[in-house]
Amino acid sequence: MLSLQDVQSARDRISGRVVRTPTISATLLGQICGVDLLLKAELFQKTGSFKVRGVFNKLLSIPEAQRSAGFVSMSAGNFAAALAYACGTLGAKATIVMPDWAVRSKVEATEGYGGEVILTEGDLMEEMNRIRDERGLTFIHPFDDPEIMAGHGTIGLEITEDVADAEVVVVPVGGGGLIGGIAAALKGILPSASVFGVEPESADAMTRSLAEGKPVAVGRVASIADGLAAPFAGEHTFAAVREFVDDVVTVADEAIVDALRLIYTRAKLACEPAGAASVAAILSGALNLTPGTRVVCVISGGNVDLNVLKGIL
Amino acid sequence: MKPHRPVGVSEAETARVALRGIATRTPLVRLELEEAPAEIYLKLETLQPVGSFKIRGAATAFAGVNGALDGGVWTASAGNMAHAVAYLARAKGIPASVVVPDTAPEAKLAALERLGAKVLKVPFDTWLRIFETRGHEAMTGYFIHPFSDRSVMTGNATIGLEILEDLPEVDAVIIPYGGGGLTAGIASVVRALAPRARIYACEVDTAAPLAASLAAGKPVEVEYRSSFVDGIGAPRVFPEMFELVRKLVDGSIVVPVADVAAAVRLLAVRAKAIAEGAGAAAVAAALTGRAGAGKVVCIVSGGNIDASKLAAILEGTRREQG
Repeated sequence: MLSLQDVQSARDRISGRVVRTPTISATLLGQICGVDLLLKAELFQKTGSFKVRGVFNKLLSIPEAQRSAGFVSMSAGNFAAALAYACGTLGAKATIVMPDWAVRSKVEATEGYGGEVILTEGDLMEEMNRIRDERGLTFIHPFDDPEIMAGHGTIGLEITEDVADAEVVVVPVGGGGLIGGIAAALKGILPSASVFGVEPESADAMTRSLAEGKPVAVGRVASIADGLAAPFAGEHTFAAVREFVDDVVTVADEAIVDALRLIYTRAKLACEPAGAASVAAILSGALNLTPGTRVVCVISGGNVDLNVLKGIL
Repeated sequence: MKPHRPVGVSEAETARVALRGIATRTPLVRLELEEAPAEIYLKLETLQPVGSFKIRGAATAFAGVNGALDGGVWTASAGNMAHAVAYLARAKGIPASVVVPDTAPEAKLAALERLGAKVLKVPFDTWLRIFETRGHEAMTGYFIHPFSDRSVMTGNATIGLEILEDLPEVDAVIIPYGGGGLTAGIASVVRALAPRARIYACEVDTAAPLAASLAAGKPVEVEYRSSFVDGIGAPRVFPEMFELVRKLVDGSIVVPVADVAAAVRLLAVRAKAIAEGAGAAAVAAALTGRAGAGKVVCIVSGGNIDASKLAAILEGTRREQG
């Protein structure tokens, strides 16, 4: 099981390679939500999302000699860009299989960081396996990996430093790597704080997994929060969520859009729909918190397609 | 009116303590670009509770006069100072009135109404005159001058303290120039504590009286056109501000309105920060290269922009005026 020590080791490993992001008081948004709200601005992270934390921790845990063969993975966007960026920094080659519906700006960003993108309309895992075998690459799982989770968990360490009296931390859930890491760190340092996860109603793999007591797949998913559209919960992530997370709730896409608009107009942060899910859970009432609760919402990323955004604003 | 003295470092430090719990200690965020003439850092005053730096000056002014506010408070502002004053007045339970120019944008007026302030819209020239006369027939209560006020400038100076704390090796600072209160405040402490750092004001070319006045060596009138950059720009400088600012800055960088729109877009896409025109002006100025290389801090002064204008800019359809 992932531990606080794993996360602390991850921090030593990735320190200097990632941004130590700020936690910002969101006074106006907090008044609307009825809570004492702070935002962990992970959209200011390198590549525009939290993903580089886990990726650097994973890559740096692999001996240098074994990195030269290059890496392969699959992702709809933010992980792809992060892997391409981190590999570029470390002098390794990144190949990423992406679905053909991936947000174009995320495909372009991945290529911009020097990654090779292979678009497929078929099954991502199958295509990834084929390319891995054909080219002799090392597979990095986008979320279901203890080193990836430990890297993401460094966000939890920073939250406890910035907001030592946090009562609730709310985290968007895709595959569960982000919340698994954050919860492991938080519960180790601040056991009195509650950690809640948020999934789109139409991509609720973790909610269903918790209900069934084992990680399950939900088939094809479609949410405006493309960053949360993981079709299954991982073995490692499910175990961490079951151990450390208080509850996972779901929100409708409409609630995510409402939250996104308010984050733009009131908190002045250009976040992506996935990043707005945490605030959406409070605004929509999916999470019913006592007024005045000191809450940290993780704004996980800011890579939004301008065409999508235009429609929302 | 007599020229102002620079804000002292110890005054700014005192103000900073008083601002705790009211204003946010905003982060300094790196703007990562492949090709840029400098290493650009963003001081994100957009993240203040009222969406702009004005809360610092307004709260410092409130703290300085306390009892005198019981009969209400008023200000004249393009929107952001009005917003800060209305926000603080509501928290104190005193009435607030604001005089705004007829060019004030919807996002700013909506915020004022939400806060319960009494809003008086007047022609731009009538509005501008208030900064000299410090009075208006329809207004009663304590007047907070949005820039030509010692307390307001002292509150603004706390931004300089935070920058030097986060980036002591700063090479240059670029500050949007409206009335001059933000420039004077920040420049006072940066000059005192980091004398080798370069300090620039920045203006849009449709309203750039500081650059013209610096060139002439005295306050001069310039042609003024309104644009979507509504937070800065006037047909003339205010002499008491000019006399102070000219001693503190290395120049004023003037940028086209279209470049400011491009900077608003760049900030959203690359830095994930929502900025209004005035807030993005310093970034447009840094990208010209005229502030030099090294570590350049841009004051992103505010983020109160109409959603429709923002959408148009992000879409790339807003090129010239607005």
